[in-house]
Amino acid sequence: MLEKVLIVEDSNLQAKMYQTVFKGHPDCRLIFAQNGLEALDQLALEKDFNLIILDINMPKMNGLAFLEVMRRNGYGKIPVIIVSTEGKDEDIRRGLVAGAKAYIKKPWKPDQLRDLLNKVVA
Amino acid sequence: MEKEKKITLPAYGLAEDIIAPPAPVQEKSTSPEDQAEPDAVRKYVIFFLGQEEYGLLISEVQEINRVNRITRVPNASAHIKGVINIRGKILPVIDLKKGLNLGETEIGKESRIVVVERGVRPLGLLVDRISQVLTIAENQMEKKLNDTKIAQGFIRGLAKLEGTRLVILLNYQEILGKMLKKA
Repeated sequence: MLEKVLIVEDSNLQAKMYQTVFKGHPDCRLIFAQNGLEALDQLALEKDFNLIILDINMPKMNGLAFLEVMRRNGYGKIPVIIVSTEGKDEDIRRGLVAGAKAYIKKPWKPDQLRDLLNKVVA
Repeated sequence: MEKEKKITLPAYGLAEDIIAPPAPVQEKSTSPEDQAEPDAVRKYVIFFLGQEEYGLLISEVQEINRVNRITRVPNASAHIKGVINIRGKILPVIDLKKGLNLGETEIGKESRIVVVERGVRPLGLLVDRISQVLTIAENQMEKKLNDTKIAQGFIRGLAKLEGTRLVILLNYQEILGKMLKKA
């Protein structure tokens, strides 16, 4: 069951889309971070996340750099879904090799994300 | 010979359907940089000590934490700020500014502790604030200045970035060796 999810995304529009999808998980708390550095802060502050949804392309610290640091510390077991854009398959492969559990490409449809969430947290 | 065709990934999917399971995180090797190729690129965590920017290889950084509670240790050397408790592990925290003779860190809301690996025991480095993660090519690094070698001891080199921006890239093993000797 999803109780606390960290969404690492610097786009407000995307953030609203995530909020729409997660209306289907009314008991789930969403925490947002705008880049990998903020995400590391949130991991330390909030702890016990069930899932991280991680955009690869962000300023300051992108998703791949965040994954690299995250895997080396106590948060490496939290499942991660990486989010990339069409045409960036190499970034996706690198993210999966770095330990992400799944991926989805932008622009994603809500049903696609819902299906992926079911598979990842099953 | 035909080139291998790269298959475009579908719109979404699971890692287990795309790749082999990831290898476990390796122990850091003792000299990863000595055989650096000129066009090799590496990622660095860039942070501020005062107004200057410094960098550590991301492969050496275990985590980056806010500064919560640092417990002072009686009779510790001046650059040892104290110890912190991270998930039940006690880590010593070094005031990096103090250790490099750049003054003393005043802890503020942007201060962070960069946890670096040191054998089996990690160590915390107190910094003023984190700037960003940058990819820096080996050939962007200046290791000599007018025939004087600057890449020695704890300085890996100077990275020349956009405009007049310079980042001092640190060799953390040298820093730790020096600071732990002082302790």
